[in-house]
Amino acid sequence: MHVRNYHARVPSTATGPASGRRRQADRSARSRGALLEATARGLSHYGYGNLNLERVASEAGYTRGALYHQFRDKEDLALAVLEWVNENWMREVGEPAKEEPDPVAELIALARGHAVFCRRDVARVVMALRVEFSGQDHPVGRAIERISEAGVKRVARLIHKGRRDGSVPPGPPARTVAFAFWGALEGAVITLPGQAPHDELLAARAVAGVLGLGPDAVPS
Amino acid sequence: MRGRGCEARDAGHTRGALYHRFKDNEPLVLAVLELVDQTWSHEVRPLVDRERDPVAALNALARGHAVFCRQDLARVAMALRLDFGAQDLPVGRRLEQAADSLVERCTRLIEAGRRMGKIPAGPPARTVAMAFIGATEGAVIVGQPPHDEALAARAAAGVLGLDHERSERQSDRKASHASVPQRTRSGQARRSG
Repeated sequence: MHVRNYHARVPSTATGPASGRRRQADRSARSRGALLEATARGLSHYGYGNLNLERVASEAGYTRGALYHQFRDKEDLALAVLEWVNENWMREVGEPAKEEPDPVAELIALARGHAVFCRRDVARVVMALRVEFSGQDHPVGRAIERISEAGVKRVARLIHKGRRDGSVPPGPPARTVAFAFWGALEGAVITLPGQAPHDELLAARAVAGVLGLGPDAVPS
Repeated sequence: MRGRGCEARDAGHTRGALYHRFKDNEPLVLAVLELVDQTWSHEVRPLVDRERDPVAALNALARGHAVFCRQDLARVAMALRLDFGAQDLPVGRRLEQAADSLVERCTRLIEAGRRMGKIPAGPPARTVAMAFIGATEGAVIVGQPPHDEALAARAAAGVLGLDHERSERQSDRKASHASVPQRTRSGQARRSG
């Protein structure tokens, strides 16, 4: 997983200026990964407003100076965390779901994958920041909007496709259903921390319900 | 002001970012939460209590709760509940009490439905009840009237492992909806039908 990758030691027996630069790049990537992870955990626990950068640096095992060497300020750090979490989401949930053979299977795979992804508290940072920045015009809020919009568009496209091939029943506008899809999914997941494996099943059932599919769409 | 209880705290949601904005106005926040509770008891509880069938009662609860959650006041309470900075303060205790009460009500209905063979067996009833409330509120908080109510009811039926159309049929919709006050987002009530 991404966290392990960031901390992986890269064995190297090479010497000379090139290997020195590589070691420095490795160190830099490791410290960036550790700082992003500590920030994500801090944002999930304390929110953006109460986030203490000194504490974040210390939890990551670095100094405040090392943090500012990599990130301009708190906003820069929060935006980097969102990008990091989103990249991980795409790798672990978004991309694998594309392998599914049909729109309904892809939608259910998204729900199941998202529920599993959200078991880590660092993954909940997007939900936490969305609540905090709701209704505010702020770069972090706008970044969350962009992530959410991409998710809504993808689900709406799949609903259209499913309605065309008859696997998703007609109903309210696809975009409206897509919003409800994400809302019901995150609503179910956020109420069920520590409830694996039920969280995955119930999240999938919630979205199957929103899509107008019967219970057979989600085998237990 | 319903749904998530102490389990969410265990996941580390101790942020307090939102509560921070209200901390100097605790009596006001408590008064608002009291009003939200009273309004829920007045508008949603009767719809649930009048249903004899557990599936119909759960459907009425999902629809009634969805309409109730359109109000700005209810949304403030939902947002506060996601913000556990107040967990050890009177506001946090008040939120937890209300959340537990709704989860308990749902749990009892799910257990009754399972005993009657109307709701399929599955995860523990309390776990399903928490997902039921979470999915209902989640569908509404991002949804748009008039579709939010139906989509929330669909999400709720899905969580229960039911076919939505079937659970709608089991509901005495005439009775349920004759007096459902249709809330707009600003909280203004208008009668349906």
